[in-house]
Amino acid sequence: MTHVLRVTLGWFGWGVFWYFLLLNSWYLVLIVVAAYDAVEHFRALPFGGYEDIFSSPLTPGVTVVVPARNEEKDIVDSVRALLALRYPELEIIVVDDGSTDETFAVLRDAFALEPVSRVIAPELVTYGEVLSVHAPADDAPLVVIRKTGTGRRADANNVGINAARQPLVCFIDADAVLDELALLRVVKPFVDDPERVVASGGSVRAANGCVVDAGRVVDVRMPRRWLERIQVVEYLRSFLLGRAGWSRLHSLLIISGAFGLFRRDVLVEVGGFDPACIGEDAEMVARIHRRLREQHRAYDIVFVAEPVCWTEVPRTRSTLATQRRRWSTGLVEVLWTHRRMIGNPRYGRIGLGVLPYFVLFEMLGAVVEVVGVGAMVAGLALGLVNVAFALLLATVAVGYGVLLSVLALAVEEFSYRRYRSWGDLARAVAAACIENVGYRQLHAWWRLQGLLGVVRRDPSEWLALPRSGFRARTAPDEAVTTTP
Amino acid sequence: MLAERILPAVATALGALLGALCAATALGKLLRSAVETRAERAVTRMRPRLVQLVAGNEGEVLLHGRGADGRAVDRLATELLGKVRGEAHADLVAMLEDRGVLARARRRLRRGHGAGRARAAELLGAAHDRRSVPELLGLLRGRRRREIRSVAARALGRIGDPVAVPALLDALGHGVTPRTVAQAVLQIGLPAEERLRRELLSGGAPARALAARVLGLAGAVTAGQALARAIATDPDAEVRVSAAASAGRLGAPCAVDALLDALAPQRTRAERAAAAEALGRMSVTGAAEPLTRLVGEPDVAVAHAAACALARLGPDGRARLEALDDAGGLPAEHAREALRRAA
Repeated sequence: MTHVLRVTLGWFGWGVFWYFLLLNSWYLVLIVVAAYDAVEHFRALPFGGYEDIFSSPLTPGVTVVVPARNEEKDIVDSVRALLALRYPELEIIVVDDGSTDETFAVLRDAFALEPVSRVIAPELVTYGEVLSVHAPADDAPLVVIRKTGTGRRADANNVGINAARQPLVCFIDADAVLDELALLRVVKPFVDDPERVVASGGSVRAANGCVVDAGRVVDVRMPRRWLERIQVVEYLRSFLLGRAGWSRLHSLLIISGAFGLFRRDVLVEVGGFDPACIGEDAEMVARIHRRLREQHRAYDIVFVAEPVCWTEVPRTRSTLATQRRRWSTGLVEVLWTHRRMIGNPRYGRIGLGVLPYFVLFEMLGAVVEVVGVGAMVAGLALGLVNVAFALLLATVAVGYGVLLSVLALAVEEFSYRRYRSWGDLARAVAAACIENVGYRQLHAWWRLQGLLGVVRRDPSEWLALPRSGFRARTAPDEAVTTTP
Repeated sequence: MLAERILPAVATALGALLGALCAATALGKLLRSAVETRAERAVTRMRPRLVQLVAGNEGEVLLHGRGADGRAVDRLATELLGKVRGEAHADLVAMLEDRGVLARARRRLRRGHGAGRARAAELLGAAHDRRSVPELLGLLRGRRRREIRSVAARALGRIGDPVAVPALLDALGHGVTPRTVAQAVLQIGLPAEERLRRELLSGGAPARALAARVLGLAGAVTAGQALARAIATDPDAEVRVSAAASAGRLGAPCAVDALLDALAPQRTRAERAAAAEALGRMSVTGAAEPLTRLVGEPDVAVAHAAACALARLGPDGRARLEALDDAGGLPAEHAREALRRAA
């Protein structure tokens, strides 16, 4: 019996080892592809024609939709920064989804808002009732829509789409801070290839620790807490380089809800965001793939690594756990909703490559990791596993993970290079090591809980994570203050 | 066991790779920081002198800048080229010519690699360098990558030589986007008008749409008849939409009948909305009745355009909007919004 258990555990251990070898090797491919993408980006930057896009009367207009719920801390700064974005034809629509704090009041006072008439096209079905529409007295291109709260971000997004009057619609988190040229850069794919490009996503980075002045990140620094530092590395590896790699392979499945740009007609055509889904941003991209592939249309969904949207990442373990559980639940919902596409040649590389990858590695990865670690610990406790062998196996698995994270940091250092100080680089390397020992396993546990949440049908309401606000320029170095 | 022999070797190799990667990253950072610091210092030194040159003072010292200072001058001047006009632009171009920067760019245009050619084209376009037009035309017509041809198109637009118009229009179907071509032709402006009118009559659909759009943006007031004909008879809806928008922009009275016809229900929503907007821009009081009917349309874009157009028709249009406001429903909302905007 002991022998059988030992052999079974041995084979299981090897299975888990090869699983992670495969997963990490694929990530290695994505990072290498993303590095090539970065090289191409910097090569083409001097002749990108951004001034031309800015000055041309032919540049498509953009409506920026900001769904907001209890965002009194950051909303005024965010809107001011959005109004100051460098873009020729811009309209900002803030959709206040039944905030119970002073979100609307601070906006009304800051921008001298007055009630106005504005027709909101009933092109998409929405659930919350629009209570009133407001605009500034000085004709600034800002509209604030107050609606009853449905607890669904997707519903607020859909109201924004209905109210939008420009051909492109950009969705931005209410607490996000954009670089000045972010919109121009994320629009460029639409300008370069207007027939094919239907959506583009910009990179999202962690703003914790950075200094923000007048709604702009003016000094990029690593945060003070290790949990936040680890997320900086994670965002860099997975959300910047990972997505850049997928995009280069024309296989992008996720555009972050924090910063994504879509053609309005396509959003209306596919029926808008799904209010029943937590991961409404990924679900929207999956639905666009599905619909356009079913119609045999030539299209592209791209990720632009250079325009940066800065957002505050969770500072505490409990907040982070909540966020990651929701992401995991959202992913399962997306995969379940579009299960018909998985492995279906009709959907090309999305059906045959991307979705199976997400099922095998993004969804089941948590199960494999938790069960693998559990079995290893149990085997060691029962004396069924050779300690030295188990340590070696774990060292190789963890070492490969660390190597990938450090490679991502190297790519960042040789390309975008946002973190300038030597100390920040050292802290990032340390975070890359720590991430793989402890954090990664904890993360797998949260993801597993998210999977179980789908089975338990946990409520999927819009969850406003606690915010601390950005570090202001005038604040002392170590103090984290809340901008008004 | 084989695994027990291989795993330590793999772990050692991973450790070595990790160490090498960290060392390479640190070395890269060190070198890059040193280069950037030197370049930034040079930029700080040279910027005031360049500002003096742009302000009209002599730039003798700048001309002889070499090494890091020279590179800083070239970089700053290149960046400034697209931001200044008139005499300051001419001074910068003269300085870059004297320093041999433009000559090098012209050579690169003929013999450089892809990105080098594109950078050269961008610089020569910003410098409005007419001498490089033949090479840029060659780049536009050649079999280069799409992005390089687009840069050539933009450069030709900035230079503004009308000789480039046929090549730009020919590039339409060959990888250069209509927007890029339209912007370039628009920058060339009225000298391109005759060719654009010919395109509107006999070009392919994308060229006709582009011509219709650019004629309006360029203020080609003599193109009214051609635009009216396009609104009424062109088989392509995109061309008709562009022509309607341009007719409104130019205020072409000869296009009024065609625009009124374009409000008909059998036309596309984009066409009807563009026609309504154009009639509003032109303040065609005779359009009040059909526009009032259009405000009741279920299509929001069409109804909104019609309401906004009515608001521009003067007292009669506003009176009609007020009447609609009293009637209630969606038309009333359109009317209220249009009245607010007009106020």
